[in-house]
Amino acid sequence: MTSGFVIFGRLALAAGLICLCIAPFAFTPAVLVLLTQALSMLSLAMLWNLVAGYGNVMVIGQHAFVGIGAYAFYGFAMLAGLHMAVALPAAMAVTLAFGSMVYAMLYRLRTAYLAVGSWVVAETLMLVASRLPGFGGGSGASLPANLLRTFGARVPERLSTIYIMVLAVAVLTFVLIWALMRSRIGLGLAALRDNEEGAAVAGVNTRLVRAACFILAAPMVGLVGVLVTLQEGRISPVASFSMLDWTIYVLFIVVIGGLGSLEGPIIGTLVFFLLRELLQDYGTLYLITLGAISILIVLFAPTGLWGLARRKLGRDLIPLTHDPKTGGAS
Amino acid sequence: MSALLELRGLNVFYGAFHSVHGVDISCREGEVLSLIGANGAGKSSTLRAIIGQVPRVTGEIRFAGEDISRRTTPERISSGIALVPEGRQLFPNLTIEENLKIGGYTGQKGSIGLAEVYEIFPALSERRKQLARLLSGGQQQMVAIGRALMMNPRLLLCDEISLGLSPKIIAEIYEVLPRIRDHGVSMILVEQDIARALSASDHVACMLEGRISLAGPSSEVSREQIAASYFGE
Amino acid sequence: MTGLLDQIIQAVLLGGLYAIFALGLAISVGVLKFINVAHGDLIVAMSFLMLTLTNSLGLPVPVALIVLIPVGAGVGWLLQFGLFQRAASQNELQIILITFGLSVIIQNGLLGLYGADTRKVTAGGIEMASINLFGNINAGVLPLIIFVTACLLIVGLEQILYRTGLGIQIRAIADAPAAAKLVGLRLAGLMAVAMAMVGITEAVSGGLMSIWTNFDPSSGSSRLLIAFEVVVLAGLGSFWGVLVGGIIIALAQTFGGMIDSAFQMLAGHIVFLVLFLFRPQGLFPKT
Repeated sequence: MTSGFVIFGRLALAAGLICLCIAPFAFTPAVLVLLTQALSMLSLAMLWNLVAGYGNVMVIGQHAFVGIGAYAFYGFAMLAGLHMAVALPAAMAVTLAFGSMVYAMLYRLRTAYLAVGSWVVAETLMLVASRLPGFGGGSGASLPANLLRTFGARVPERLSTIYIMVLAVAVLTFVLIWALMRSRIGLGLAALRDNEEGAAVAGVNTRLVRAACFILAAPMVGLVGVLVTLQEGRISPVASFSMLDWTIYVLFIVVIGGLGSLEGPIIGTLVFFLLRELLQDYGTLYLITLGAISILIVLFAPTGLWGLARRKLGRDLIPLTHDPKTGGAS
Repeated sequence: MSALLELRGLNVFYGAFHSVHGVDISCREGEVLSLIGANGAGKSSTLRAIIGQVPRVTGEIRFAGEDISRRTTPERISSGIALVPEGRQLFPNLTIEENLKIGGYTGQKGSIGLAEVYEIFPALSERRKQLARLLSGGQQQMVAIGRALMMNPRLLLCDEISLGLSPKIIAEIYEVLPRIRDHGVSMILVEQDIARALSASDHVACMLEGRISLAGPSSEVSREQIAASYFGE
Repeated sequence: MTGLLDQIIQAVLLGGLYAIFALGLAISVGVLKFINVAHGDLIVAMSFLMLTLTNSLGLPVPVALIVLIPVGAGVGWLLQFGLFQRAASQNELQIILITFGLSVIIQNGLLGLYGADTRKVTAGGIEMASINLFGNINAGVLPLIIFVTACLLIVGLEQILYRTGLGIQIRAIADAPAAAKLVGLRLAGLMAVAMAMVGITEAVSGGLMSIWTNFDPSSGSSRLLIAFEVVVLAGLGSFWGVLVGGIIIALAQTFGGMIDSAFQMLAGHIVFLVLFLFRPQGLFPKT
């Protein structure tokens, strides 16, 4: 029997999605900017969760792919003068290529080495980006007004267009991960999350499954990088490759919400922006609090807030399996 | 003479799996007890319970008159119990001498030191500086026994010390056991080689599916009795 | 020609500092089996403590350095016993997340306490002094002291780990943790002692770094990355390998900096990545 709380939770998710869909008509530009940021973070959180939570590949260099997406897009759209519809997929292809290369280089490393190794790669790419000719060096470059104008003649229209794109990408990311988790690969991932050695013994190709997670996530992260660039209207090594924004915050969101679940990143994003609104005036205290909360969660509730809630509910809000016992989907 | 070790109603659990069911065993000071039984009968679990390396036990484990079932492994070792673990479990990248010294750090001080171990196992004294992983199986087993002896135990638990060794080496190792006994050490031998176990021990206990199926002095139990209790016929 | 030789000598001496950064990380990777992402931040925290001891409390630099050592050991011991040990039964991924949180806390704590300014500790002229090595080649007294300190630390660590009972026990738990439990080694205590040794290397590197180079609350990340690169390059076979690894990274940075000052850090990373691709097990792996 589906309990009242689960129905309530699903209704809340549905209501949230409807709110997000009508947001451009319902909210002020300031709220729209906040929602755009939140949805970008949500996409990154879902993707990091795919790699680290489901794929068990602990990367702390995800910001590299945000930066590559941003720089590749700038290169194609501005320097090569390609149309948006070409530049966008081309930027994703570049991040896909980089993702494959980075994975090929690092996959043999054990957990801790891979984590810091991915950080070294990200740092290196950031330094390279700051030396690339044509991309404005260390201070970066602005997207010209005529390019931005293709998204709307005036600022509010532009905000709406970009918001809709970000929302579409967040929904796309969610659906992709959901579909992936329901596929054969997803079964392998579930086995991997529960017990890596067991999964390997049971015939799950753990290597392939982990590689698939990492490499599939890269172009999506790159796409978010493009959207972030459109929001900011500029690229720069420091902002496009920001470890704080695109890795540290993302990691906190997923850890707090719940590593290895579809609901975790959503709850984490809500908590993260709530805390930010409450604490952002306190500067360093805000980050210290986030750090402390995430340590406490790892120590005492390693499945995060959603893990705690799920124990009460007894099932997922977003069903993944066809198993009738856990409330099969559709 | 009172029992040095006494197990009363020992149960061992690995999660939901109940491996040892209400086992009673006692081993007197100076005695050698052999614990035989087929694979999975619960012999190794019983030894690991005595040293404190199983997830959950119930029942009493009395050693030298005290219940030690709540103590940690280091505490049990320093009160005089030592284990020669199944599969030897040496420190592969430490030398023979360092492996032996580890026993000296965790056990009691007493009459057995490096010199005594080298006297018992002269083959080791020639290779003191060699890494444990470069030794033959027989030599590794000697290091494992020597390391446990360095703890100066009153009770030595030997888990399958003949496993995977050639008959010649097994004979060599079993020849040494009386000399260990001369140091006043009691022993519990877990063995699959029934003949070896009987000839080396005073008492024998046979386990079947987690329970004691036969116990008695080694000289009095018959081959038929053992066969019956070993295979549960 | 003299200029080039001069640069190489400077780089080798800088390698000594990098080796001290990396020694602690090598111990934690080798013995404790995890990477402390906050390693660099702990070093920088020690530099700031050095600043407080010398500037605010007016202690002479050598005295402050000596005060720093027990503090480092205590911090390491407490972190292992109070924090990392509690996650030790969980997996490696969770320990990384914890040290990640710790790193953010330390960085922002320092930012809150000391502000974002770049700092340096003045040591009464020793940082400017230099001596003539041969011909017209000179070397700074401070870099020489740091290099010698690195060598002494390596000798000391090797003596402790290979000649003392404590060291043999620590190597045993690193070698085979399961066996260590069966023979009654007290893992939690030994790991805390190992982390205290890491803390001492953090104190020494933080103290010496504060006199030689500028630092600010965000300097920790780059120190961690250097330490990581040195450890991976060296492999886990020998502490002297760590010194060689430190010198390689320092040489790469120095030559990169000769082309263009902006290439300094980049050259270090690139040399690391290239060497890593060709020799992932490190230059001096465990045999």
